Amino acid sequence: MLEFLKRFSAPIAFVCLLLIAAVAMVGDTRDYENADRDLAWWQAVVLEVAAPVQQMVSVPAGAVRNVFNKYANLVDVGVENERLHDRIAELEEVNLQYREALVASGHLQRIAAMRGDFEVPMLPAQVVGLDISLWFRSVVVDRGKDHGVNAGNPIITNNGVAGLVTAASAHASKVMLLLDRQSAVDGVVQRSRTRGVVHGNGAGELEFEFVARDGDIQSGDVVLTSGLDAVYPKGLRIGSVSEIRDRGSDLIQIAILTPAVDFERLEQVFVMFHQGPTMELLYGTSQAPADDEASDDDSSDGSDQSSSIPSAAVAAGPDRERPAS
Amino acid sequence: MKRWLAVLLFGLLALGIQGGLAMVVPRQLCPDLGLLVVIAIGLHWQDATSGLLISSVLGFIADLLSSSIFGAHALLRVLVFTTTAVSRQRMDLRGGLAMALFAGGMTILYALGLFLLMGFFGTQPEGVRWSGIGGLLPHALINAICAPAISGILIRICEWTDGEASRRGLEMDARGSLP
Repeated sequence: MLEFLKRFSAPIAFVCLLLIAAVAMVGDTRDYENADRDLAWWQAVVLEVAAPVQQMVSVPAGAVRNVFNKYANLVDVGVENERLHDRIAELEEVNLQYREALVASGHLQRIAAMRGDFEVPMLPAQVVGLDISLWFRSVVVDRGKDHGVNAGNPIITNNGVAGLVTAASAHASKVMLLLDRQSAVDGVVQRSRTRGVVHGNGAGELEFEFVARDGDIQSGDVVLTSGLDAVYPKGLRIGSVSEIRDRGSDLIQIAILTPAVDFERLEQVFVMFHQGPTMELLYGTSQAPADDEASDDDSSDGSDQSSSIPSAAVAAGPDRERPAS
Repeated sequence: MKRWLAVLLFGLLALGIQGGLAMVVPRQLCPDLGLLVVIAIGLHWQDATSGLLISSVLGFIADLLSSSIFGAHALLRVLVFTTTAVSRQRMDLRGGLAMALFAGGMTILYALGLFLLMGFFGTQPEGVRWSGIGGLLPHALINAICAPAISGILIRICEWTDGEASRRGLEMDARGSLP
């Protein structure tokens, strides 16, 4: 028997390992359906070890890239600075007019009172590594369960929605980006209120699927989170329509969105301590860390410890429920 | 045992570096270091059983650092190791060019295998997309370029851990394997 095992150890190992991998895949899809996505202890250990290694590579390389980019940007900085100054002056004037109008109608006071209800505690995090596979879109961030991060927490940047935490260890988390084919967000066109589902198409774009019958969509329309998927809060910017693909008489039409977030330059993100009802069912209840814990924990790059939604991530207009702080 | 651990750590380090490197290099031009380590093990490791085990473990670690179905990379890396180990018996893959061509070909087969697996498990209903092929070719090319270097590093690690014993234990020709 021993002789047999010794002689055929390689084929036996080959079959066993293939079986183990196949069982793991079946188990993983079942876990996904049953919403059990907690990391096993050894998986958490691997993530804990891998995140600092990725950080060791990405931080110095990113610094070099930043220096190069800053130098390259200096070429047009004078002209751009002048243009931005004009723009600031123009926007300040418009802002002043809005404030005046709000004060006059008494809205400002009411919005200030509502603000506490809509503010979501947030934690800045640094992206330390990208998905190791060319075909999937996820990132590793340097914040984990010890910082209050749990699977199901939305991830945003100052430009809009970036993704969702899918697994967390003590000091690191894996985030599935919106660009991933497996992600899906309920979205709404800001102008016409047409609803649909946004998901990645695997080619670096977002696809917005909507029902043709009542779909009023034009190129340039801004698409926001509707909040109806009970995953992401309402009113966060997803992207803008760049192309509408005519699918003939199909009931479901598709618009291609340019993401609001530049996923190729994703470095600083914010973890929202928000779990909608769906996420609470899937991942269990998450608790935001105490204010001092969230704010005292130094960010990797020393950035501002904001505890509310970055203003640019929240769209202006009808969905603007969360005033920027 | 020392060699096992060293190669495992090398594989883990390669995966970590790959994830970090992807942040600064365009995705298609980022080498799949984890895959190249498995190919290098397949080319030089004498004991097939332990080679399979190491490849499988590295595959599971890769699964953890990716949003693929858990087990997909592990399964494919076991197949990559086996294909490489069988191929080296029939072809001379010790030369830099042969190794590069082999690594490029394996990259393409690996991507197709991953697409088929994901499609089978229903997470990629559209199956293989031709739009992805454009990104696959530069990726295969960069893997081909990096393969001899990774192979050379693996040989050095084995020599360092085992000393002269590794020279006898490994089926390799250091001159041919080095970049």
